[in-house]
Amino acid sequence: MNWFTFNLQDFSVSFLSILFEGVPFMFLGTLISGIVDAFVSPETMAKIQPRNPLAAIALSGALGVVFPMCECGMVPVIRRMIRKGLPVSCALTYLLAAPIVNPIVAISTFAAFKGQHPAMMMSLRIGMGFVVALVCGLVIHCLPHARILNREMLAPPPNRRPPLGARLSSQKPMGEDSPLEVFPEPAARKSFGGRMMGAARCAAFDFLDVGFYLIIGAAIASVFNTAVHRDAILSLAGNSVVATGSMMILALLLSLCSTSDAFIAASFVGFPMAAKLAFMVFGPMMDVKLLFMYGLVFRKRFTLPFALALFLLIGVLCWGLGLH
Amino acid sequence: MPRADRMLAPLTLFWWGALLTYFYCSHRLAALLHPDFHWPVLAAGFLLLGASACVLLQGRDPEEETGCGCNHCKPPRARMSPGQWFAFLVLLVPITAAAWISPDHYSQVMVQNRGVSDLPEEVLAGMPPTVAVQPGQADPPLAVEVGDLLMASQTASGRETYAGKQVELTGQVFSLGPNRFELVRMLMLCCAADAQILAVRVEGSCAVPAMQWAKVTGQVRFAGKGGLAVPVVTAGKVVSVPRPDNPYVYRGGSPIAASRTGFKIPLPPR
Repeated sequence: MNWFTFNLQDFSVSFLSILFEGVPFMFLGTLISGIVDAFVSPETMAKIQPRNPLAAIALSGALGVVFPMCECGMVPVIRRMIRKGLPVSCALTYLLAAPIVNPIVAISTFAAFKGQHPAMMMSLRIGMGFVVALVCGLVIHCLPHARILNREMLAPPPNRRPPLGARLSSQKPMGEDSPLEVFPEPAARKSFGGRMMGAARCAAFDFLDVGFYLIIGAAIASVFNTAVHRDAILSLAGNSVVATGSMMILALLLSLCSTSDAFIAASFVGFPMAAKLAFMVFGPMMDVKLLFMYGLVFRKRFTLPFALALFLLIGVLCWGLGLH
Repeated sequence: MPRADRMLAPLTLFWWGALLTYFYCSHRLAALLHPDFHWPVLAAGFLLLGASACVLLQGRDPEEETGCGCNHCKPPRARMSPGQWFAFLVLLVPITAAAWISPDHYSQVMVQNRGVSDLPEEVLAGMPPTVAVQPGQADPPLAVEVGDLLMASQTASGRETYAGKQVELTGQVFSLGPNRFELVRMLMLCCAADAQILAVRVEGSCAVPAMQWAKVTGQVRFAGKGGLAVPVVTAGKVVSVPRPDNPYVYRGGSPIAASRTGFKIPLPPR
C-alpha cells in the first residue's frame, strides 16, 4: 500500500470545496464583527455580562444554544468582542463550545449514530464539549492576557491610544482575567450611515485577515484529505488508546464542519466509540485551519501548548469513559 | 489616481466575490458543495462585491469618513511591507489556480486513497428505494442506484427482493483488475472534501475508462465479505454514458438533489 499519492486536481477540488463551504460563514462572522464594532460600546458589553466570573464563563459555554455559529465564523466575532471588553475566558469558552453545544450539531449527531446509541453519543458529545470549554475558560481566567493574546490584540487601535502619561498611570498588574483594557471610541462616528459604512469596512478587512489563514488551513487539510491512504489510519483501530489519539489527529487534519463530522465518525465502524467521541469533540475545537485562524487572536506560544492540552484533556476524558 | 497597494484590498474582495458568483451561475458549485450551501455562496459572492465597492469608495480617508478605529484603518504607510504583499498573493493565487485547474470530479487516486465507506447499517437502511420492487418480479431490467443495492444487502428481505434480478446501474468505473471493477457513486455530506464512496462490485469486462460514467446491465447476487453480505452484479452489458447533471448523491435535504438522483439518505433539517 502506497500511503501517500498526491494528485493536483483532487487537491484543487477538495481545497475549493472547503473554501467555498467556509467563506459564507466566515463572512457572516466578519459582518457580525463589524456590526459589533460599530454599534456595541464597551459600556454595553460590560452591562450585559454577569458580574460573577464563573457564571459568565458558564453562560458563554451555553450561548451556542441561542447563537449557533460554526467554527469558521467564530474567530472574527470573538476577536472583536475581546476588543470591546468581553473577558478572554468568556470569549474562549464561547469559541470552543459554540460549534458543539448547539441544536444543529445535536440533531446531526443523533441522526448519524442512529443504531449506535444515538442519544448517548449526542449527550456525551454536547456534555463533553461544554465541560472541556468550561475547564479551558476557568484555566484561562487565571492567566494574564500577555501570555494569551497576541501583540495586535493587546495594543490599542491607533486612533484610540491614550496619552503616554495616562497609559502609565492606568497600568494594572497582570494575572486576573479582567476585560481587556478598552479605549475611548473616536467622536467622529455618530450617524447611522457612517456606522454602517464603518461596519462594512471592518467586516471587509476582517474577512481578508481571516481568509489568509483559512486558505493555508484548507490547503493543508486538502493534502491530507486526498493524498493520504485511509488504511494508514484504519490500521490503528485495534488499540483503544492509539485509536482515540489517531482519530483526534484525523479530526485535526481533516478540518471538517461540525455539522457533518458525526457522519464521518460514524462511518469508522472498526473504531471504539471513545475514539469517535474524541473525534467529534476535538475536531470542532481544534483543526488545521483553526490552528492558523487562532493566530489572529492568540500568541503562537499559547496556541500550540493549548492545542496539546486540549488533545490530552479530551483524549483522557474519552478514554476514561471506557466506551467500546 | 489611487495607488496600486490601496487597490489591492478591494480588488481581492472583488475577485473572491466574482469567483463565488461565477461558480454559482455556471453550476460548477454542484461538484463542490451540497445544494443546501449553494445560496449562501451566492449571497456571500454578492456581499463581497458590495464590500469591495464600499472599501473602494472609502479608500481615500477611511478614518475621517467612517470613524472606524480598527487596526486596518490606521493611516497608510508609504509602502506595503513584503509580508502584506505575501498575504495578498496567498489570498489571490491559490484560489485562482484551483478554480482554473479543478475538474468536476475526483480521480481514481482519491477513490483509492479514501476507500469504500462502511456506512452504518441504519443510515443505509433509512434510504427510500428508487423503485418499488416485489420479490419474484420479472424483467425488464430495473433501473436502480448503487445505494439501493447496498441498502438491500443489509436485510434478508432486501436480498431476497433483488437476488437474481436484472438491473441497470449507473456510476463511475473504478477498475479492480481484469474482468472486475466497481461502480462508484459519491455521497456528499456537506462538501466534496467529506464525500464518502459507495460502490458495488461488478464482474465482467469493461471498456469504459477509469472514473468515466457507465451504465451496467446485469444480474444481482449477494456474496459474503467479512461476515457481511455485499451486492455483486454480473455484467451482461457495460456502456459509456454521459456524466449526469449532478454527479453526487446526498443524505436527505435538497429536493432538487433528490429529484436529480432519486437517491437520498434521510437527514433532519439543518
